[in-house]
Amino acid sequence: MKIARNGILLTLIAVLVVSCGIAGRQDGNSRQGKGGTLVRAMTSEPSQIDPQGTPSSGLSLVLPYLFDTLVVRDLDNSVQPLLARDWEISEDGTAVTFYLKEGVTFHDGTPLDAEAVRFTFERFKETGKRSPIYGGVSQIASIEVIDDLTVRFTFQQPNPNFWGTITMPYAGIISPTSVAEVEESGEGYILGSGPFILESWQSGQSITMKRNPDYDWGPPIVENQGAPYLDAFVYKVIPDAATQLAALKSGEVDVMFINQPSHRTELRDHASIQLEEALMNGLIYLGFNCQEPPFDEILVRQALSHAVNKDEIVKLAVGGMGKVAFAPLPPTLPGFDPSLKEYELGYDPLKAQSLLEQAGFKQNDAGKWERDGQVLEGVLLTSTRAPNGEISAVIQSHLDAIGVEIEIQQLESRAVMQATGEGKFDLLLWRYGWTGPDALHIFLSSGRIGSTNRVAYSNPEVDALLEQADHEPDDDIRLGLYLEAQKIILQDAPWQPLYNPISILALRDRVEGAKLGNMGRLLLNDAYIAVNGEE
Amino acid sequence: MKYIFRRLGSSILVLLVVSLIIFVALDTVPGDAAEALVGETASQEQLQELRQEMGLSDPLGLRYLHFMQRLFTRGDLGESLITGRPVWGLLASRIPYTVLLTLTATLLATTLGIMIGTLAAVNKGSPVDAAIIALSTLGIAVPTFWSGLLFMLFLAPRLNLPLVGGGSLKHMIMPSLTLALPTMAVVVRLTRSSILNGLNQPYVQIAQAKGLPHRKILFKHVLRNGLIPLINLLGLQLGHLLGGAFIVETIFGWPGLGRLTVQAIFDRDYPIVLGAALTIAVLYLLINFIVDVSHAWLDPRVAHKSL
Repeated sequence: MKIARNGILLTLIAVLVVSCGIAGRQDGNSRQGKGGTLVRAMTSEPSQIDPQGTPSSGLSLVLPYLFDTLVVRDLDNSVQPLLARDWEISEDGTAVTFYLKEGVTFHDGTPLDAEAVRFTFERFKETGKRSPIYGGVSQIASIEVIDDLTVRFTFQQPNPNFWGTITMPYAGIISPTSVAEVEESGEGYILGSGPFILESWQSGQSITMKRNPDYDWGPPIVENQGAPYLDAFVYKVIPDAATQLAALKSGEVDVMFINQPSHRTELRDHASIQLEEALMNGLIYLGFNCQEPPFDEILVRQALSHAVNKDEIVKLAVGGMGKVAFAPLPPTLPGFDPSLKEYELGYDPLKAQSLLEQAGFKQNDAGKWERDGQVLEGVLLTSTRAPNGEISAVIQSHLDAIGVEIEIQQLESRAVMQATGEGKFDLLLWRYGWTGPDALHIFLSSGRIGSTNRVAYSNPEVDALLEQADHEPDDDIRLGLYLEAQKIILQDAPWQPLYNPISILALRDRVEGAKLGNMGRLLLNDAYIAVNGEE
Repeated sequence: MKYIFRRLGSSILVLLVVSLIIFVALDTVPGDAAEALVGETASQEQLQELRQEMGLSDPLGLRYLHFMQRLFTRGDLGESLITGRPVWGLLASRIPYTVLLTLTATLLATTLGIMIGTLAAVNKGSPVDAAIIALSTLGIAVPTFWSGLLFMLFLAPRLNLPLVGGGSLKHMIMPSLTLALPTMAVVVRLTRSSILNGLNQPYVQIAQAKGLPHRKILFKHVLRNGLIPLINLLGLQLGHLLGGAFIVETIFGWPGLGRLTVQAIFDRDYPIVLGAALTIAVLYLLINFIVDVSHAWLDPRVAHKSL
């Protein structure tokens, strides 16, 4: 009995020791020249790989490498060719004709033609209800195949925000053959035409893609329009941010996105890790419940907006991972206008107090603002996502300085969404990310109260301007309409824009040629692993 | 045999209560799977439509009955609300990882724990003993999410071990060590005290009087008797380890049941959460059952008493 137990223990130790020894290093494949395997960390894996299926952060990370879209956006938000070499918008703006590149094939070898494009969007209208771009896709009235390489989309009314829809990774063109096969057998994957081909997916662990050797239709936003240099690209699923960081430092992972200021500080002086920054199409804002007294009064909202010091927020709470914002749209999107700076309700505590007096409030002995026996105070609702806790604390101190006490309530994000839908809050610290100026329509029009218009803001004039702008084919007129709407919004102060987030990409030195694209997308067409890098 | 059937009956009751609690708890938590699915940009109509489609608009009781009916008539846990994949398949692909991790941690904790505990008892009062007591207190007190990170930062690079992922034995060292630590500390303390306690027993004095060598007394008599409370403890600790696995799996990216469940909770994917909770309850009951039976086997008095 005793001997047997010792025997098991000894065997175990022996196995452990031997396996440590054997598995020392197995990387270092790389042929001469450019190549190698790049490993990137992923927080949570997708639930499936169908561009039109259940969306998730994991899915949007994987899609751009496996699927190509008709067109892509460059860093300046200009639309650039990808599968479509060219396109034409009809006079009245209700039709867009795409001319596809020749010789493009899906990963299953079938040709990517006009019919495949038609199929993709027809299927989307049927099965894509869960997708964030379903709203955009459902505006397509009809899709006609003109010839093999020409396809025309028509709309009921001009739809300039269509470009935001079709440049999203969810709008990737899918192989009709692969869809039929998956539907028939219940196995396999839906395929695209992207620069990488899905090789294996080990649930909960990793997603491995290999280079697509036939690829030669890369977009002009990268230098190498041919097959990628990398032999393989691997996503490792690592749910914990601290573990991701440790894995990057140990070299187990080559690339990760940082979302915590402390991690940025930690990596800044690391010898073999580089940091790259990109301004995101997003906004973090302080919202007011526009249907809840006394925040339904413009004067109160304006007063509290003036009490907030955005520079200090970005400096103290965001660790520089953001750029101070003054407009409802981020500077990276069309519709943003620098002239809106004048309309900003900037940091001015004295003005804040005088506005409160104007609204009929009086400061009591305790320094708090009172009106008809009611003290001005509230609950600031936000999610547990970093760095919302820190930002809330800074806002709390700013409002405290003018004599307004707020209580911070941090909930898990779904709980926050539910609470805002039911109007159970006074102040809200929240964020949005979107690809076009129709963000204003989605997040601030009265039709979206109870869902995406979380602050229940309603102004018929703004509604009308946004409705008109969303369907105005003429760019100048359209941008003018968005500008007008934003001026009113800033005056009404449903939101105090705080900052636009900066996304930081951390990569190991041995990664060459990787670059950041629009919306923080990592472009790998030019990337390779330096052969005599570290190790 | 009767004893076994009685245990089985009460186990089923426990499972029913567990499922009911999880169902109610998930319903009270704000947000649902429909919101998790369509995210932040969906309109109210889109959400309602999806809720209908997913059967989320039915009242709680009805949903529970549906679930139970399916479970009992077809032995089926249903499909994930998010992916539509069968829950049982998802669970089955993850269970082996969690069981493997938990068992390895148990093995590590007991073997190392008994060795270190014996070492402390033999050297009672010496600096070695004092150090072991101090370290074991630390081991119990330090939460795994912290010790895991410390191991990751300081131990893994030195031993050239991978930090994340699953599959190979090498991947298992860090997470199983982290998971084993608190249990190991408990085992150390228990072994130490039960050996010290045993050394004062009359039968040891008799053995000494008979002139048996010290080693033989220690290993053959004292340690073996000390194992009985240890087995009881392990039964309880295994439950702890299963719970701990949730945290450790998340830290080390170990593809087990815990990871699946944590994600499912965020997604409000209640069929998965329910399935995972039931699986863990079954595992826990099974462990307790084995512990009780083996206890009865080791100490025949127990079986007599319970009959």
